[in-house]
Amino acid sequence: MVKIEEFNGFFKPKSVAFYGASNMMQKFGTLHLVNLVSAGFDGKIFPIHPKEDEILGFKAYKTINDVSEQVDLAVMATPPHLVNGFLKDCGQKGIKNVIVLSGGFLEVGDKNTQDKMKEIADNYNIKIMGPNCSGEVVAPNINITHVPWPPRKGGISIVSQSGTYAVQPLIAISEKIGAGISKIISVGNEVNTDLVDYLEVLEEDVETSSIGLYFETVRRGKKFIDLVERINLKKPIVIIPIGQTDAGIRSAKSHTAAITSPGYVIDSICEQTGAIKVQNSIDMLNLLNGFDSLPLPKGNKVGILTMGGGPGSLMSDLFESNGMKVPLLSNDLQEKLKPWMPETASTINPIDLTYSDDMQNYLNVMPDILLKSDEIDSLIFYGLMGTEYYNHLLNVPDYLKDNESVQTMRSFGEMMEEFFIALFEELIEFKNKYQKPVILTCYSTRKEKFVAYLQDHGIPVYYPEEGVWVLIRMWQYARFLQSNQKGCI
Amino acid sequence: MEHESKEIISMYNIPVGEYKLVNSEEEAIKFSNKIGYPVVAKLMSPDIVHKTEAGVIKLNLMSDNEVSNAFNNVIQIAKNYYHAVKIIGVNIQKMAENGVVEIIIGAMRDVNFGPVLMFGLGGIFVEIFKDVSYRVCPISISEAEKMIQSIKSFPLLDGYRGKPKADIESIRNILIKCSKMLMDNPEINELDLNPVIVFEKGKGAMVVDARIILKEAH
Repeated sequence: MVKIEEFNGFFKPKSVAFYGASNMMQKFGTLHLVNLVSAGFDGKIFPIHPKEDEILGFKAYKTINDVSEQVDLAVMATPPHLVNGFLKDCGQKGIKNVIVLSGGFLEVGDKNTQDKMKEIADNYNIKIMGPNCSGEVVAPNINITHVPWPPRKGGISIVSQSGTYAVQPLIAISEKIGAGISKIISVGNEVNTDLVDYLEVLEEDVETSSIGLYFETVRRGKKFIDLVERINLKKPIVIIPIGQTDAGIRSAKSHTAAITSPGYVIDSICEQTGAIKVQNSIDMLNLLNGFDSLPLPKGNKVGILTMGGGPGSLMSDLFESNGMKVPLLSNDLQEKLKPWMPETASTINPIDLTYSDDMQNYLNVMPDILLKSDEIDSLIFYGLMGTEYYNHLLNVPDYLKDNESVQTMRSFGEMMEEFFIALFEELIEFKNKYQKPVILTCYSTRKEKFVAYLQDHGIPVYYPEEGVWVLIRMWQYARFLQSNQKGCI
Repeated sequence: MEHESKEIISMYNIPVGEYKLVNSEEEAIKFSNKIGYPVVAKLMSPDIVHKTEAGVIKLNLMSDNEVSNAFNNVIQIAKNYYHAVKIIGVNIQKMAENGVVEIIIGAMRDVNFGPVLMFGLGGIFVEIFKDVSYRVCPISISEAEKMIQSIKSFPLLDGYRGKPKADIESIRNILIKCSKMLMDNPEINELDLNPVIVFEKGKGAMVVDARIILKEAH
């Protein structure tokens, strides 16, 4: 068992020392310091630098010993041959948590220096994240990575042996997915803390509700399986194993000296533990976002409310070929819907409005009727346009700009946002009241304010097929839990 | 060697037919009479791995005479095969009756997760359709059952088109015993029980051929 408090310096630091940050913005260490400051970190920062007196407005210190106050966390982005010396200084200062961003150890064949690092760390009871890692995020105020897109706070935590997959998807999270993050941990070469340690930390972490794992090699396989099996019953675990083909294995070996396991082994672990394997990083984040935002579906029946025939049909095909049902609605329920729909629309499921400009019917009245009924367990929408649509539409040649109908349209576009938000508040209430997943799909991103609003308030927004897969996998997880509970009785 | 592998698996009460390693015609005939005809004779030599291809397995031997001929014959074939061939002896075992199906149980040791068991139906089902299931050891009774049920060809074990049902319980028991054996003996690197004949429900199963590969000593 890990002692959670031994990791507090990583996740609740009140003061952070930086090695390798300078007044040159482009330096790797500096990027991390700047991103931490910009994320709104409200603790103390102590840059350690041999020459400078001040770094980006912070008083700099020649050595860590010159800092009189307590330091909870040290971050190192120096050339590798300097790390062990600084580590010793940190040990003597009493620092218990160090993030070593620097690379150039076991992954390039230097076992000696890395072994020495472990020796020093163990000697001073220091927990190291890394070396050769991309840092950490603890939303909302801690971003010790090189990616300046701090995410909103939520319940998703990610542990990754790939530094890139740990931190660079932050861009997609901020601009498209809108997922709420609790912690992102890049474990690097795992010199004295590993994937399994962080899983144990996340099991106990009340802020974490779902977990994503990228791994190449698992140094404590048995413990890993036991933990995943246990945690997955409380917090869904989504995994991406890396290095499953000859080329992938070769690549993994060369970049973290990792020896990977074949796909059938990973698949059997997923079957045993109920962990969910996905193929790509966006699928992982989408699914984690679904788990974090929505209640689990209680059954396999989906209602589709669509503004277009094609997406309605494709979504139906995907649901029905992957264990879910898009049931024909009862006459009674169809009769209840009819008064609110255009005459051309279809009330069988998918409910295809073809085109309707009555947003109140689409976003409130009909969802209420559908969610209230026991004929569906989840609701998925296709289609919505916001202000950005009007902005693009009104990007007309100059001679049309003063046209009266263009002017009317412009004011209409500007009104959209407020109008939508009132409807969304109601929709979010339905989701909470009926405890059923509600997903909106469309082709817009968070540039469109309505997308950001929905995502930030617990209704995920995806591209159409992405949304379908999220729901399918959430249902698979819900079914795993159901069968597991039955198994216990 | 097969006879050694069978010895190990018998220690875990995994059903293997009665067998004996003999070094003379007389011994071969005596043991054949003890277990009853028909029997099988297999030459055991570390120099000959692919016994069927080398022609050193003689099946369905019905009499003392056939056993004695087979004994001399396989030794001669081995000597022709390689002049300095090392011969451990000849393995005599009962010829297995036909069962409902033949299955394969295998295992390898994964570098990250330890022993991984494999289960599938013999022949084309494994070789062509790759219809197998895997589990990381140790496995529970319910995991073993899921492992059996999760192959696509499971209906063939479960009374497909009026055929008798196979003894699924004994498959399950063999899987669990294999799991225990692999957990107890970290030096076992690979296991191959191929084929295992499964009889009708209630009548058990029997390992016909077994191969255990140990980790190379460092």
